[in-house]
Amino acid sequence: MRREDWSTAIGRAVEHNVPRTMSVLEKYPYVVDLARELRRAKEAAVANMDEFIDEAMAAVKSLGGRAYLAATAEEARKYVEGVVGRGRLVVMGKSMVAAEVGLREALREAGNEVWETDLGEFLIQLAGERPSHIIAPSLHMTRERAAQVIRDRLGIDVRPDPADIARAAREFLREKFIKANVGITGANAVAADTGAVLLVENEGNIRFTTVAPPIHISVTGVDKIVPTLHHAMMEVLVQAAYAGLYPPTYVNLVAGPSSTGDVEQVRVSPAEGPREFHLVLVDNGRRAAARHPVLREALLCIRCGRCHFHCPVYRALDGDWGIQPYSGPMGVMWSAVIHGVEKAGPHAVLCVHAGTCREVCPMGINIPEVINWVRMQYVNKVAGGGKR
Amino acid sequence: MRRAVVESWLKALGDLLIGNLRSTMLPLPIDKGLCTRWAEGLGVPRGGDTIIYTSCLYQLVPAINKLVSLVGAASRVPELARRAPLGLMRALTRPDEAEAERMSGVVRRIAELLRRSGVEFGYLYEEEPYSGALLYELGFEEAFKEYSAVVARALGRARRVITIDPHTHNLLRNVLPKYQRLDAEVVNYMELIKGVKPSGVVEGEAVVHDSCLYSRYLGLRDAPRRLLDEAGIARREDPYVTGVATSMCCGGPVESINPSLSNSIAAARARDLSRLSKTVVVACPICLGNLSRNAPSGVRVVDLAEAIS
Repeated sequence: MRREDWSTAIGRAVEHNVPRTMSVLEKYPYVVDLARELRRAKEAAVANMDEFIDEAMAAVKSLGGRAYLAATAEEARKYVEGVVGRGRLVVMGKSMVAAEVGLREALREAGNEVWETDLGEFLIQLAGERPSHIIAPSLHMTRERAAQVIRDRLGIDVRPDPADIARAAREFLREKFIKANVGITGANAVAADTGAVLLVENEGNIRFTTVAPPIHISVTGVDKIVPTLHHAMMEVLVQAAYAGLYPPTYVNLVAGPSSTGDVEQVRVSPAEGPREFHLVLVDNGRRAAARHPVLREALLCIRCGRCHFHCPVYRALDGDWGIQPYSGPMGVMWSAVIHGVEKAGPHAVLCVHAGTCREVCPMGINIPEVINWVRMQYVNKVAGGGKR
Repeated sequence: MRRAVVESWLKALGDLLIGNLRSTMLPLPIDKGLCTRWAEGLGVPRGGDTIIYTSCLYQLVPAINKLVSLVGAASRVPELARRAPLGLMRALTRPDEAEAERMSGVVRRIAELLRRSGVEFGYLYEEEPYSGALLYELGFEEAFKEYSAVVARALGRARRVITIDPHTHNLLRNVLPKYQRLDAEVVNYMELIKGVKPSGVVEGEAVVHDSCLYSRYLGLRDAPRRLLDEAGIARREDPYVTGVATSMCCGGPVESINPSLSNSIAAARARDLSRLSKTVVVACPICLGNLSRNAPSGVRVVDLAEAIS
């Protein structure tokens, strides 16, 4: 990526997103209250994480779904590979956790055809690049470059215009949705009391992914578990508003495989939707972080991506700050949760503690303080904290 | 920078700062006379119940500017930087005389503003230590813990400490109490001065570049604005450039770790500010140094104390 491309792309993104999000929060002030209530619910979930994991898994099973707790990225890949098999067509709705565990690459290597269906993810999949923002993964691409990528990789004629780029992707992906054997999504929230999984989106690709293929797998972190469906609903609304689009176009609620009771009220499964539902809960450092007095704050993050737009370092580092797929201020915290202090440290030392991220975080996470803790642990390890 | 390079540079930088702090209570090998020059002829008493605490930060800016221009090269060969003799380091960070005079002038103006506002104060002169903010902000917590005792001891006899920059104010307000006991009340000069007038340095409108620490960590976002308003200096605001959550950093905190990152943050900030006014008012020596080095041509960066009298 050229430096000028990033400057143009981030400049346009900030100019569009920041005022829009501010006006959403001004127009719907109850969302700010919901965010406060959600923080309390998430604090409770993090403080009793193992109990909530058990409750959520039991609830999914009682709905006729299957639930699996993966301790590591490798375990998560193995479980999903076992469900998918080989030679299948897989459609994926944007999931940071799937990217974290390297799912797309693993499924492809196992001989499956795999397509990202979120427009941003689709573009970076075509370009062979990595995401530059957690909810706008192709943030680094200008419209000119996005059109070029589609022309080069798919041979489809497309103009450097966001609407025409969306059209080209839609036409290409429509057939994939219809023919897909498996749909894989993440989750914005998992309700422990009911086993319901909530997904918020605007493109409609997640709705297709959760309904069209006969098998739906949701891969998500254990940090996404909240006590009740009431809280899960709050989380999707808060996430959408702080990401800058409210109301969100779609909120998808998935509670087990599809079923019908229309014939004599006998409940049978499947109906029109998937016959199988799998929830893969990924630990990968999260349960240890939940017990940690500082890092536990990171688990409250709802991945709205707002902190990125307000961070001078993220903006100056061409989006390449934090260990992929996590970037920006939240990404530095999450790099420590998943990869540990030594790998996150070189990122943490670049934080300028501007404090703007903390100002805009819907969960009120003191991100600079968490990063400062990572920095101190790291400097202590590599330079003895300056003690001589 | 690669991880191994970052780590070697951190070690070398830590050695440089800690070595100097232990021998002179200053982070860089500068002449102590540069710290106290501002007080010449002012007749400020030594010590006392209320003291001005400069932490020598404004006075260090010219040497920091020199150091930053060397960091890029030094961080690639950290062993050389580590073994460089003191005389060489002193020569390499020798401040530009015009810059040194300007920074002494800023501190002198702050002292005069305080006096005109009826605030009496003393000064520790060559016994005044640097606050150690740089150690803490870079993550050298162990070294800071040790050095913080020096600071607490030096300030221990005062009942009121007047800070003049955000890094020192933050250090005394939010950091030092975690490691040391400090009974003195800590106030910032902007909270004490009143009845100010324009100095004539700012012609027309100005834009305030907020210090991150004053604005988002210390509740002093309005202080420089109040003083500019009182002096009748018009200021331009834009909610997406000068708002609490939108005013970006000057890049200063990473200038000794990654100067190219620091410079690109500063350049972006200076560019945004220059769209509002060609005169940028800051209230922090680090912001002053960093934005001045990276401002587009035709844009002037002045300290608040230079803008008012």
